[in-house]
Amino acid sequence: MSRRNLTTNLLVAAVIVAAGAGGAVADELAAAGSILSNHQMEDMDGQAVSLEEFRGEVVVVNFWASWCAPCLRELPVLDGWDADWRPKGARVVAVSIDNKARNAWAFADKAELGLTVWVDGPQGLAEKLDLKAVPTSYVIDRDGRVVLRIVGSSEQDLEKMHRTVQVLLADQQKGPEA
Amino acid sequence: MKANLKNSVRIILLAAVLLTVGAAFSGCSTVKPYQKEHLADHLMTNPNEDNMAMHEMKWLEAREGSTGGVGGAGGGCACK
Amino acid sequence: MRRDTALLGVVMTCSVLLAGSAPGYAAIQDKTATYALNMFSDVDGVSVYTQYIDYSMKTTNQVTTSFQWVHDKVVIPAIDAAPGTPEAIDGITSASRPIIDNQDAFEDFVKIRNSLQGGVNYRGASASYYISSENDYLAQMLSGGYSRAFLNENFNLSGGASYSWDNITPIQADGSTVSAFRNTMHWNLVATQIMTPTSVLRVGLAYNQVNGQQHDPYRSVYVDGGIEPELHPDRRSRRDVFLKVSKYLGNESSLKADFRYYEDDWDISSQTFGIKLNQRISRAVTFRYRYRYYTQIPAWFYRDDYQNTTNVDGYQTGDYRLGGYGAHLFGGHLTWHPESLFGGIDWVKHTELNFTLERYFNSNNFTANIIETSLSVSF
Repeated sequence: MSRRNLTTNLLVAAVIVAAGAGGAVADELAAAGSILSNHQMEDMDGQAVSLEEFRGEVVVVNFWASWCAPCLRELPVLDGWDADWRPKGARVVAVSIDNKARNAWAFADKAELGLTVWVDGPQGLAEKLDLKAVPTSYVIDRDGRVVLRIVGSSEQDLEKMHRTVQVLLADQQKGPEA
Repeated sequence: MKANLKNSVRIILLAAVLLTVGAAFSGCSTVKPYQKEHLADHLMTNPNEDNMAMHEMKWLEAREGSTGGVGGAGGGCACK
Repeated sequence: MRRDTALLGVVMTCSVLLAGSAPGYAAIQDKTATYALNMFSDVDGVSVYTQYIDYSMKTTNQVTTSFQWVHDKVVIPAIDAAPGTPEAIDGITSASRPIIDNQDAFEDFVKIRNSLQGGVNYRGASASYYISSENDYLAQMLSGGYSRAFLNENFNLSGGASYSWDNITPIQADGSTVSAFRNTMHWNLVATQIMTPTSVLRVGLAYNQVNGQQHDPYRSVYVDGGIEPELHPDRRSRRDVFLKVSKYLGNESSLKADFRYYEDDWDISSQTFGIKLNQRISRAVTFRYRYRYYTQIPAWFYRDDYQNTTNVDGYQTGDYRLGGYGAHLFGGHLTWHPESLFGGIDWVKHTELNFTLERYFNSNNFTANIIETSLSVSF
């Protein structure tokens, strides 16, 4: 095989592998979307709630815990975004995986969070989605599809999340193309 | 006899270390990130306690003939 | 030479601090500052007051910079002893007493030591520089380490190495100084395994190779009716292995047990057993009780007295730390998170007050009280 053919074959193989990997991630996100939309959680009043209530909005689902320091630093930032996005058709839902719900409510009260806070414990969505770390955030479009998953709370992660929601909101404003 | 006892203790400890490290590498127990709430509790993981232990080692070394026994990382929450 | 080296250390430390505080990072930053005061007083009347400040700053770029300053003040009470006799008592932190004339023996002796350490950590890799200065001792150390998590962060392996070099300049009877040196090479390896959602196991090994002067230049020993200066071998190979288990119990409590085995080529070996029980009393208060037992076998050249000097090869020591003994340490520790005190200040994220009261005693009839208090603020 000539060197040129070998290089071409390697490039094609790399594209196939990348496409395969990309496909695997897309499948994971699709599965996550289905799990998220069908799961019931609890709000502060102990009422059963689910993400289906927000179908038609762009939703950022943020999994956090009162024992997770990066989560507690990130939440006030997400709270600010939530206040900006609500009039535009997007929101943040912070789902706590604390064992004891009262720990989650205590932090939410102390931080005066205005965003939606629900509790689900460590054996609910955390287990079903097999979360790799906290915080983990899912960005869901208005049709209920998960378009992005962010693990962590670095500056780059937050920028990517914010940018994605802005793009989804911009698409929503443009409406369907003729 | 004292030398034999010392060698025996040495060998037993080395074996315990190797067994423990071996078990660790075999991944005998995988704890998920969302199960680490208790490990992140200050009762289990407190950076201030680790700092105080380092300072304590200094005055213990000045009062006793040995050293060591501190250091290491990990064992806490799966936070990023 | 000493001043230049100290200045270099300060410049490096400041550089580390400035590097960590450079603009352009996101607003999510962790800074923690801790101030602590430790008071140690023993049955011989020796008092040691230690203050330390720890400061660390974390940025979202996974870089953490840290800085530490320690100030030790040792006060040794006046002693009724002739100059050059073994009764010249060593204080803690190796603060030796150079008795130059009879007058000195009857005055309280005060020795000050300052140390600075600056370090940086980037994604598990760390490096630091340490410098410590007394009027007759300058110590410096460079260290590096790496820590990595595996198996979904259930297993952590960390290793480190350091090299330190000490310049010892004991003060002579006429006020002049002579020079001696000591250097230490150290490495360690620690493995931490999360066993269950409520328990953690840690195992570690460490090795030190010490070369150079290792005896007290001011201490003398009674040998066969006369007085000889203390003399230790100038090489010492030290190693230890330790095991720690932490277990979260029900009812807001935890138990930590540890064991350490140490040995060196001076034939000293020791075993340490420790246990700590932590109990959360309320949302803001935690109490800890601890007990530690230590037992040691003496160095091959150690003698309680040197009337018979066979099999010591010219070495003699007045340092009881090289002898055989057992020691106990027990006490209580209180941690308080006074959120209500600083709750109104936006930039204060977390505060912690610590108070420790402990008692130490050993089989040489030595007893000591340790009191420590510290304040830690995260902002």
